[in-house]
Amino acid sequence: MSEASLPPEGPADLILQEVAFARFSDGKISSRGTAEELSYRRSAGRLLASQAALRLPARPGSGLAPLGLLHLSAPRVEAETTARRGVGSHGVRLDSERGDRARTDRVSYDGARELVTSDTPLSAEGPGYRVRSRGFVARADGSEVQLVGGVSGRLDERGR
Amino acid sequence: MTILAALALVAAAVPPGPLDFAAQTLRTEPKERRAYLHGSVQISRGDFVVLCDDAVAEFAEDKPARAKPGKGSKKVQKASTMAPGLLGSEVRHFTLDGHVRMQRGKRTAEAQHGELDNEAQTLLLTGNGKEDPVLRDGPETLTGERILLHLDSEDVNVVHPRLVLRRTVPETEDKTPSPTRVEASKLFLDRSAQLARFTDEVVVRRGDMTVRGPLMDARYDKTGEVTRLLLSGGVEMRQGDRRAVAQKADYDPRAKELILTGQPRLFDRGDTLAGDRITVNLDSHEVRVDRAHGLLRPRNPSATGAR
Repeated sequence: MSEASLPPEGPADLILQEVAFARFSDGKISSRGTAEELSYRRSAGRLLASQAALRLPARPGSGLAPLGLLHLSAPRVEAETTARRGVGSHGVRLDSERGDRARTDRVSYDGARELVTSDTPLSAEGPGYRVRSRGFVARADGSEVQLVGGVSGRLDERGR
Repeated sequence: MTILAALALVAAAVPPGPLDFAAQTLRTEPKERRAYLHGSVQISRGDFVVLCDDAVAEFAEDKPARAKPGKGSKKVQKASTMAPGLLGSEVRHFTLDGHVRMQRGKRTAEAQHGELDNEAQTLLLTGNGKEDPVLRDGPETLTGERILLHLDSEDVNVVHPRLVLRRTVPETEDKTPSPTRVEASKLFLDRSAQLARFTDEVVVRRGDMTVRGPLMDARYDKTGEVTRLLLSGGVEMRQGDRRAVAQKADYDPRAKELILTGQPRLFDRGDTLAGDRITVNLDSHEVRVDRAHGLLRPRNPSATGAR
């Protein structure tokens, strides 16, 4: 998904600055986040956030569980709440409690298909590994991650 | 025979350390503890490089780090149970498929299938039933049903080896050397002993000579030149109509002589000779029998022509 695929912007219905938010699921906080500015266009169900950051605990038993708490951030995030999709861009960063770091310019999320994709170069590293690719396709729960477009990396046994 | 020496002398143990990889795509499946590499796969460590079309990496199970004594906080305990994840785990094994090529120093190999065991530090190369794996060093070629390379040493095990030793005999200006071909059920290259041991149904062919036996040791010097091919355990030599048997055979590549010892007996068109030692020159076909005794049958002139 590219930024151009989202509908053109109209005037915002709501603009919030210095935002902190939390998402509840089953009566518990499932994630927390902040944004420098968040604008909401009600008719399109569209959110636009700048300097957005999200703290996301990995679901126990999921493919992401070994990473611990996830810190996601992007200078720009556009989301369509009705379509359950969004795009983080201008430098997306993922840092994990375990020490993993991933960087890419743009990431798209498709909630209907539970897919996270990127068509921009990715670099990632963590305990005992580092890897680069030109993009990736992953299931949102981390059960499958596919690095595409040419992959290279290193598994450092001494780092374990 | 230089390949044996090259395999044993030139190659160094693959050093422990990071393992690099590249491919067109990498798909990880944490629950299976596997990663699938597809397209132009390259796996390397030090000077050891393997290329293939597809590879499957199998990772060890997660082993969460232990909490440090005295650090009883909830946060520390939580972090201590954090597993290293798939790519951070130790790779146990790679399954390699499709045009598998290995390079390590001057040595190269090709096969259809490979099993890289990261724990045992071995690479097993096999074919597809039609083509056997091939190990090369310069002009020397070694094939066999299965070639097992030990990465932490220079040892090589080969099942049903077929070896062409083009440089066994030093080249001369006027004559191209006859390659020596060796077949056996098994081959073990032992670097520390500077020895290549062929076992079970060993067959050595050079020109019109064939030598068979259950065991052969190829010995070489530090420069890589083969100094001796020693067959033992009951040996049979055939060269045209000539046949010889002995307990042992000692082939000297430089002298181009095969020396049979241990109750050697020579059978040649009705002639039977025994002695302490029988020496066969491979080029001139001259035979010398030490302390000979036996039976020589004069040829029938009408049958064999004038003599």
